[in-house]
Amino acid sequence: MHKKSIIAVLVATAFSANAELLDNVDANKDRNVRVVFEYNKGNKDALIAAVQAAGGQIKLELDNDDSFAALINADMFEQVKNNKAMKSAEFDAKRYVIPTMDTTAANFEDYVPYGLPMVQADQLSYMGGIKVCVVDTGYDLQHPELPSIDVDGDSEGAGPWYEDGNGHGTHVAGTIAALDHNGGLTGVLGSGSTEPELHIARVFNDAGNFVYASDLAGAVNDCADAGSKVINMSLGGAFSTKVEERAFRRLERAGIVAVAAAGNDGNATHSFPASYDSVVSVAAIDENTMHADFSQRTSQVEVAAPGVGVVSTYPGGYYATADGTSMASPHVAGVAALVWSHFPQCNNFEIRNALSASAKDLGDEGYDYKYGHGLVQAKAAHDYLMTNGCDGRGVK
Amino acid sequence: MVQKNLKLVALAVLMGTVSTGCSLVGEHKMTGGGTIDSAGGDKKAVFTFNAERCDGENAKGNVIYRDESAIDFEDMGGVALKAKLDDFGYCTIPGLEEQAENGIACHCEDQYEAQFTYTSNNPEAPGEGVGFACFFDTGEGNGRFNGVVTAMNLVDGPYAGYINHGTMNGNIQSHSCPAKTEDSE
Repeated sequence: MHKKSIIAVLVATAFSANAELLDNVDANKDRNVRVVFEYNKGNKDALIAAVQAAGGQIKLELDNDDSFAALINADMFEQVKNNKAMKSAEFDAKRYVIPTMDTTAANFEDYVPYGLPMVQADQLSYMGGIKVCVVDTGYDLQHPELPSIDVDGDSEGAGPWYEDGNGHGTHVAGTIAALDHNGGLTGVLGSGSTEPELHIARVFNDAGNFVYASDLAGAVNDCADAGSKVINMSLGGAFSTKVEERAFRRLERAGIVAVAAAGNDGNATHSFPASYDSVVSVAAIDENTMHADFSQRTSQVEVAAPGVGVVSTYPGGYYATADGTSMASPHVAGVAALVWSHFPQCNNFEIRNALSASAKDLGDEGYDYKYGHGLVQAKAAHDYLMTNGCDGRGVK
Repeated sequence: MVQKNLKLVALAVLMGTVSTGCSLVGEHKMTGGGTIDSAGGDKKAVFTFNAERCDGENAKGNVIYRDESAIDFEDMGGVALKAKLDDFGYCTIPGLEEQAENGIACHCEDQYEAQFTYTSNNPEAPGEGVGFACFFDTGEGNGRFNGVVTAMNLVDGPYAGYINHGTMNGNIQSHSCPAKTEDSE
């Protein structure tokens, strides 16, 4: 059991719009801005040529959206903005992963984090077949608590997916998939006879830093290409982008449940991707099911999950305690996969609806902005689907 | 005017939001309008503005802003205001010449910033207060261009504590100051 020797204290303070402002300031010092250019059909080459002629560096091509992202000097941008090949232009917003960590020593014996019974993950066994993608800082593939058999990944320019010098991604992955009965703690999917299937999309480097929204759009497409049915994103930023929103709509149409942290700014502002309609926004609560002060309140918050004092895996075979909506989100992603594994005939809308419909109401009666529909409940969602059925034709 | 600016800056200092060493500089004239996401709500916040500081001394202009689904102000029917500009300019660490021109402290380094005094249009929340708005803009061009409002903060008054930001759906036009027209063209 938990012997009070948790090795890390992780203070999740991400999603700060102020920090985002400061980063924008830095970006302006050298007058380089990252812009997503959308071209008129058939004009890709013409617009790329114009941007390059103005000194722009093409960073990412998004053919599905008739777009590309480029880094360009703000003054040189003036040269291309009247180009007839251009349909639209938008700032490429930044998405942040969070926190600071202090590592100490660990000592666990078959520890069950409080979040597991709270989301009823201890009442169902994972049946397999639902791959979960973790978009984060990477994954400590050598961690004895974490799956290693059915795990693959993409290194999205931030380092090897199977390493994690930051710790955030390994912590998130542990909440979803840490394995039971091997001496340490257990994740939401960890107690079944089937080892959880994971895809790791590493978009953040060891320092955490940031990823552009267009890069995130590419990374989640890779999750889909790898066969993921659920995507967890413990990340966010203040500004929406059209390219990113379209990417998540496509994923939704492709049958994927995308889950994201509501944000840690503690105010009433939207954070993205959580606040897109096609993404499940997750608020954080504590061990007493009270709303966490840092958890952002919005009309897009859909469900709540444990996000205060969450113990999970940490690189190097260690463990860490963390606070944040980043920790709440993987509880919901895990529960979505856990429930879905019992009803593989269901589509993503049916799973998502079942999680909301069966959530345990918290706070004000009915839906509210702090908790959404309430605390996600795996067994209740399972029972809801047993009762109401699921024909794979569900819609939003 | 000066009193209003001092009040705004004093409040901002108290809130720890003034960007140390930055001042509003330059002569600008801008107009625009559009929508951004609500402050937590499910509808869009709508705004129009015109802002001008061309004579080197006084800014003038107006802001109209409405966020009826702002969740922290939902019980009173949302945020609705009209505002008169107290100052406007590009917020940056000024050069020596610019420093002599204007010493108004600001919040949003390397962005356009408007500081204003507002009057609530909502009879459920009457009163006045001060606030500031900051933005980046892509300018105009061929096709649809989207800038970002990085801050719409109401510091005191009936909507004290209102904070919002978001990607802009709309347009901001930059105009030449009348007195500078010949120089700039």
